[in-house]
Amino acid sequence: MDDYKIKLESFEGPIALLMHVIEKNQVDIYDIPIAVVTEQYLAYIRAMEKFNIDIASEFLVMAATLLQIKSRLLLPKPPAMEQLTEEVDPRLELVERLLEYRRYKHAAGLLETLLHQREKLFSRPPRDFGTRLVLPDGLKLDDLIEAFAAVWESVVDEFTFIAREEISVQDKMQDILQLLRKHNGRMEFNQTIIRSGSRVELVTAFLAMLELIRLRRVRIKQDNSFGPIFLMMGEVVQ
Amino acid sequence: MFYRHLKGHIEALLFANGNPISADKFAEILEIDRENVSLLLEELKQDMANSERGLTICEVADGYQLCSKPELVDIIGRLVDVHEARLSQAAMETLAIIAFKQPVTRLEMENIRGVKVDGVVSTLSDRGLIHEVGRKDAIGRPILYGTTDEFLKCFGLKNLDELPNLAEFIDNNEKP
Repeated sequence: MDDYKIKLESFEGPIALLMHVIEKNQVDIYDIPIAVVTEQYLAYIRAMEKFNIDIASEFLVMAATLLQIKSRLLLPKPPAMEQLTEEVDPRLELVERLLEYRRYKHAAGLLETLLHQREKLFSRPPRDFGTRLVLPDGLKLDDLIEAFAAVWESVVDEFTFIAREEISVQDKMQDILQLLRKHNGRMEFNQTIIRSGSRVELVTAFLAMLELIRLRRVRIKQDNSFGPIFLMMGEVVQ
Repeated sequence: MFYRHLKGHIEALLFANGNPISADKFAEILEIDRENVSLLLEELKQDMANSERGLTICEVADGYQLCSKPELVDIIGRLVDVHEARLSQAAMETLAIIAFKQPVTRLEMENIRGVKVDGVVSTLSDRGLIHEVGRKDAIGRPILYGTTDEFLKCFGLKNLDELPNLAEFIDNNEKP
């Protein structure tokens, strides 16, 4: 029954569609029969809707433009306006856009032709003149064996034991008290680092200092944040 | 012609390089002047045309390139299925706008085509046919696009100066 078929070409945009309508009707681009063109343009949009093609907003903007031009052509101009302004064809702006679009559409066709011509020619891809690997000269089998032997020997397991430094807080507390006595009961915290100077010693020394403070064996004084900490003998608690 | 013995040199250089070689580059390598380079290339091209040879020299992207003769396209086509990655109509139109109007911003392309061109522009960029050539002195400093040497090679153009002639050609065809 339904022998009515629409071959829907996909249109990139409203201008492409409008151009298609104009070309199909073979009308003069400088004198577009706006009523016919608008009607057909809208028919296309409706067909697109029917086929559930999402219509981009640009298509609708163009539809509105066409309708506006159509109405402007239909409506009589107010007499005052007629005298004031020179009559400008409301289609003019649209025609200019269409002409420019057509120019580039033709240019695209021309590029396409050039491309086809060029595609008949085959050329080589540029050669990669990268690094050329050069093998060393004058090597003998002995050299290889020697090299292998050298590698073989170097793989012998060799271990070195690194003793872990064990400093107890207890030891460090003794250190601090001894040092304080040596320094006449007053010294800087930095001076308690007397062994390996490792992070472990530093932390231990700090813990030892805190412990000594708790036991009231030492007192500390720090004038400002991150400044040097001074340790002093605390009052001896019996 | 004193330099006739250099014709083979030129052929070898063209073969080894693959890409177009400029006349200046030939002059530099062969240590002769440019006029002689052009003469030698012309003579070499004649040799290739006259005899039963399969190769020719074409002028493209401000240089000379060794390539197979156009009439042999079918025979090469039998060798392999030539892989075709065609540019869409949208891409061709956008490329035409960039080629004839360059330098041009995206907005200018969109105004002509009446649609967004973001996708097409990145396709053309990926293909190496266009690239950024600067920024327009306008609000937002939009990117300006232009065509590349690859574009010239793809379309068999000697240089961009060949393009305005094409534009005239189109205008003349439009208004009979």
